[in-house]
Amino acid sequence: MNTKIRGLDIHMEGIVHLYPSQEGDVVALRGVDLDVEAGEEFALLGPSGSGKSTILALLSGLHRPSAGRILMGEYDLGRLSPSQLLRLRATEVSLVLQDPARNLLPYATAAQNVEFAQRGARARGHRPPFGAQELLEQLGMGQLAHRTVATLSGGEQQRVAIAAGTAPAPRLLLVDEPTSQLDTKTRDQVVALLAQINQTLGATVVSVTHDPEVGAAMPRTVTIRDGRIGAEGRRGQEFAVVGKDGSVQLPPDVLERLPPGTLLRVRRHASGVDLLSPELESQETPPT
Amino acid sequence: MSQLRLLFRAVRWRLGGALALFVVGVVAVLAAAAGPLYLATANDSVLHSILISNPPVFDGITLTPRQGSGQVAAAEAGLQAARQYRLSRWYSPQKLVLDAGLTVVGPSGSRFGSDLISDPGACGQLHFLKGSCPTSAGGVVLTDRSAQGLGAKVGSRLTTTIPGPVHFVNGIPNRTNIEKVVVVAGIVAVGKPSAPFWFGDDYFGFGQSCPPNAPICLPQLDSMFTPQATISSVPGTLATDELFLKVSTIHLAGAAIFNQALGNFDTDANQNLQLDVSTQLNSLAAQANRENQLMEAIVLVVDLQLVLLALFVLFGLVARTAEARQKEVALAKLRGFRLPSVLSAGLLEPMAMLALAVPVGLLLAYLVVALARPDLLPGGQLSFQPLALVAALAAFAGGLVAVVFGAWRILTRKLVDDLRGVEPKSSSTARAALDAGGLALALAGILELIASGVLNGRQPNPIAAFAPGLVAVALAIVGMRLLPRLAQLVVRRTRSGGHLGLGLAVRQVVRRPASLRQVAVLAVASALACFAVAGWAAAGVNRQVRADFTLGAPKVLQVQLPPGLGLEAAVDKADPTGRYALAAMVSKIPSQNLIAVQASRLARVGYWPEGISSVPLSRLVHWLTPHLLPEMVVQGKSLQIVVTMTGNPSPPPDLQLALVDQDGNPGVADFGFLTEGTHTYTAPLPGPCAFGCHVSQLLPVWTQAQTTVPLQGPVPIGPSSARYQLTISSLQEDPGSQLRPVTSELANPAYWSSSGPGMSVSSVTVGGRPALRLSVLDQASDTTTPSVYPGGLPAILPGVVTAANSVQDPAAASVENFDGGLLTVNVRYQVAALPQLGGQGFLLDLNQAVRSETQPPSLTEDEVWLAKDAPASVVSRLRAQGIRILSTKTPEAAISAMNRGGIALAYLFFLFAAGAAAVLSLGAAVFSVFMSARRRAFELAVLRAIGLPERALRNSLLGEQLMVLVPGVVLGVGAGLLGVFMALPSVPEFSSTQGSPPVELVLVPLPILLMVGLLVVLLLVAAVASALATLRLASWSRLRTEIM
Repeated sequence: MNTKIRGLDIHMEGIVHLYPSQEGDVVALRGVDLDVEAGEEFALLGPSGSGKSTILALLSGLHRPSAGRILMGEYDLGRLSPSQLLRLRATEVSLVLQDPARNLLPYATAAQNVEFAQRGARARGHRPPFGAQELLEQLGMGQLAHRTVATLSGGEQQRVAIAAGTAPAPRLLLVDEPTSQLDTKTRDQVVALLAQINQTLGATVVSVTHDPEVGAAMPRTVTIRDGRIGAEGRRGQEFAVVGKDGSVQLPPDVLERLPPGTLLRVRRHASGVDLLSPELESQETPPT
Repeated sequence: MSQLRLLFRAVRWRLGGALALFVVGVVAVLAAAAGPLYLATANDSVLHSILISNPPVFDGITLTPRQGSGQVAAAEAGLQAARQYRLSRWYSPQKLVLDAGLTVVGPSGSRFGSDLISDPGACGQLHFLKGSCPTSAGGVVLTDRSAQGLGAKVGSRLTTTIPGPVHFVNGIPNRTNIEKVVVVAGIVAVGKPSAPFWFGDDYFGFGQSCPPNAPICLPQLDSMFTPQATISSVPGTLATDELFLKVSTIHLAGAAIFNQALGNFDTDANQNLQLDVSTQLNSLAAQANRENQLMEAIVLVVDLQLVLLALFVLFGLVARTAEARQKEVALAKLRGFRLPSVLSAGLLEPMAMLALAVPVGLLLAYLVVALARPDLLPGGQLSFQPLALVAALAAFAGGLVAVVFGAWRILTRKLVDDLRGVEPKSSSTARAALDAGGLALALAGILELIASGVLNGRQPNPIAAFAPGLVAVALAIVGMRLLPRLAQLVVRRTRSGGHLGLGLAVRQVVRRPASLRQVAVLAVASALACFAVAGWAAAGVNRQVRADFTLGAPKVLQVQLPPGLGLEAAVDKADPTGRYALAAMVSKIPSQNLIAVQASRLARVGYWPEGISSVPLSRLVHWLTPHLLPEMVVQGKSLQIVVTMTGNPSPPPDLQLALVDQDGNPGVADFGFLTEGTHTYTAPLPGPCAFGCHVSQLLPVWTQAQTTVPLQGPVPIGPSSARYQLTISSLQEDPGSQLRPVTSELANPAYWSSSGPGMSVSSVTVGGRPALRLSVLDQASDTTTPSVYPGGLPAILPGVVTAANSVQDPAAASVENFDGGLLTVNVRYQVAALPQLGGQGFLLDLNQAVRSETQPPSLTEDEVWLAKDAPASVVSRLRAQGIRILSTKTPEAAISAMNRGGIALAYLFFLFAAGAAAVLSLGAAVFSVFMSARRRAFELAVLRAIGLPERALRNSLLGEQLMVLVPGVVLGVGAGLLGVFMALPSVPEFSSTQGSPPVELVLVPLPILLMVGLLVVLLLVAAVASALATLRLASWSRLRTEIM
């Protein structure tokens, strides 16, 4: 697998998404702005129901945002027709669903699953640069190629599912909860696999996970909380992000100490600013 | 190739569902293809059955030269032409039969009438007692009884006189008879005239009196067989070609070639060879065609229903199994597959199963018909039918539509819903609309059947077979909609009760009404099965009734009587109780339509089904039974009569007694011309009267006197009428020893009935003793002689006729008697049909019919009817009297023939089809509920894990199965029974009901109960097996991994 793909960059701007329901619309995303570099490996972190999977669905074209704009490489997703979105999913963007069984044909071998996943691309004249066997071997799964999926362990199935997602040689690989229900060792294998795909293939890889340890292994993470971008992290280190409107989303542990509505004092210095809470300062000052 | 491998793996992975699809597909294709294949084979079989059930003379060809002379040459030319047109492909053997009527004089000097027959191969059919088959001209073969009659033995020389041709000498006709001496080469046992070889010719008519219009009436011998050379050159010999049809070679598939060859031969033989071509093949083919048309209609209606049902089952099955393929479809959509690829992911597997089902279904259809052929469709030729292929492909196309509709939901489901795991919900409005549409269509169909008169039962119509299916659909839809409501009622009751299993089951039924669709399928199939079984059983009863009635009694012997033995007397002797045997005589001449039975025994021995007459048989018997005075029988060598004549007519009358001997031969006792005053006259009796002759008429024959024609002037003739009185004071017979009075009724005027207005009868006293007075006025202009009949001979016979006879005046209908004379019948009652005669005929009392004969009966069949419990001694006593039993007929043969008829074969198909439908729908219903439960295996495993008793779980599954299956069967059986009452009267039972007992629409409970019992057993077994299988799936491991 010597071919290097040019990954897709992502630009999400003011994304709002509502799910209609009988009790009233449910707001899943409330003005998300997110940029991902082409060829970047990136993870969305956040608790269940925070809206991270919705972002994946939007990026894969399964949903159209209620408001906002998504640009991926040369594509403006909001302007693509359903057939163009289909083509996009067949050739450029690949989504690996949570639970490997939902990504694989249980009766087929790993190689057949990879071939099956390539069928959409091939039908559209997009010939993936590698064959099923080649891909599996490259990803360290050559020994699984001819084994029926149903006979594989959960970890192996997850890896094969990711391989199947990689099969059409997508420029953007979206992976939903790749490590859920996996033990530590397997989890590490899966994380390593994603990194390998990103590095060797050049595809932009966006994972969704609620596992902080997976996030710590990622070059870049973004935490989603209540449908908004929260903190951003780099290799386990968390950072607050200044939004386009000037707002700053603080890391979750900070927010626990500084709940919304807390008055802060800003202290400027050469390398940045400090946010100080007079209330906390007074609690910390020892009595004289 | 990789796609094929993937498909193969998918099929293996979901083997149960795939196999179910395959099986249903096979059934649909099999049903579609089996219809045309079965029809073609059954049509052939019906034709074959009709041909073999008729004697060879009917379906064979008889060629008769039209010219009086040169018959042998003409007949030989006919055979030559048959060879030329290669008729031997269908007709073999082809033989030239020669027949020369003759008088033969035996060594004892007795003269007999007989026929000299040349029939190639005849010796092979005869059982030689002595001698051998003659090979050279002049040799003959006699039957043992002919030899005995002639006093001949092997080597005897017999002088025969063959009437020569008539030629005119000086305008005067002259016949030169040919005398031929033949030598007895062999003596054989009497053959069976009914044997096919004789081609309908009765060469064994020993003792039969002379045929009608015979110039000389001599006692008849059986025919004598001789080589062709003996008579081929004898002028006046009748020649006939007999071509036997090889029934096994006649098939509808080759009908065109056969018809063309036969048509060409017919034209040639008729026009160029001056031969009359006679065959009844066309009418037999027409009969087969009538049967086949009815059968075709029924089979097609049934087949269509079965195919539709199979397709509906297929639809349900695809819809049910589609859920298993939902993931592939979602995956295909997720991977951005084009529409064909998405369709392929969802449909390829069921389509492949369906495609595979086409050849297998076709092959199975062929095999099923092939297996059924030897026993059920004898003689039918199973050949490739393009229509079967078309039907199979049509079923395949229908299957594809069913597959597409069945998978519609997974194909059109939004991917997002799939990914979010939202359960698809079919719209209750759509379901209600679908059900309303189905109900409306079913009701419209039923109304149309009623409005168009299809179900009125007056005219058989195969379309009526649609009725049970429509009723079932209507009832099933209503029942299906009501079932969840009823289940809801049970839900309330199980809230507080301890029936956990039942509670779970009813909740499941309320929760998933979609699985209730199986109720409809099962109901339709059960209804069809119920209707088919009821119809088949009723048809069986009707066939038995018809067979029994057609024959007249449980067993009928066709007999031949020795000379001098009366049939009635013989039966009376064989069965003095009158409980086991009955004498009957049936006319073989179609124009006569006469049957005479011993009326007093009819009720005990004969078969008389209800519906033939609205009055009981005992009443008819009472009407028919003769209440006559005893016959006037004279016996001996001579008669002596004392007559006083007054009036002295000129010329004097000649007093005669018309007599009939035991064999029905007429005779006369002539007392000569009477003279005025009281005188005693003597008349010799004919020889046969030594055994007794009955007096059929007492007639003074007076003819107007004429003298020789004078040269000039009017012809002097005597008076044109004669008026005189005859007083008969004594009539005595002389048996050889001493005179004895003939009858005590002689002087009873009530005993006599006059034949016309010229005779009146009264009683007077002569010398203190009663005497009979006849007052005669004989007009020379009258064509009949005034006469009187003795009381034993009613002028008018009471009789029963069939309604189809259209008798204008029931008091005095005319019918030709067995002897050819005209008989007046007082029609006492009109019935729907008569035994053996069918729709047209007269039923008389045998005793009266025989008494009324003044000539020997010709072309009649003497029969003895036996009751079911008749002991063997009756038959042996008949044999002991010299009666020869020619054949024995039982209803079984008739039933067997009817079972091979078109309608019976159609019913058979209905029965098999309904059985297949019932099993198919039962299997589909069980499979459907099993699939539904399988989907809930996780849920069940959870219930098990939280401590729900195993028994409660099992009961819940079993209860759920039964709550779907039982209503289906109950509704179906109810609809089937309703269909029986609505439609059975209109479904044809026979191709023709004319001249038959009315069709009985009996509901035979046993077969229906057996069918329902079988369904219930199958249902229980399937339900239990399915429940246990589902429980096995709901294992602990299920809690760890979801169903893939």
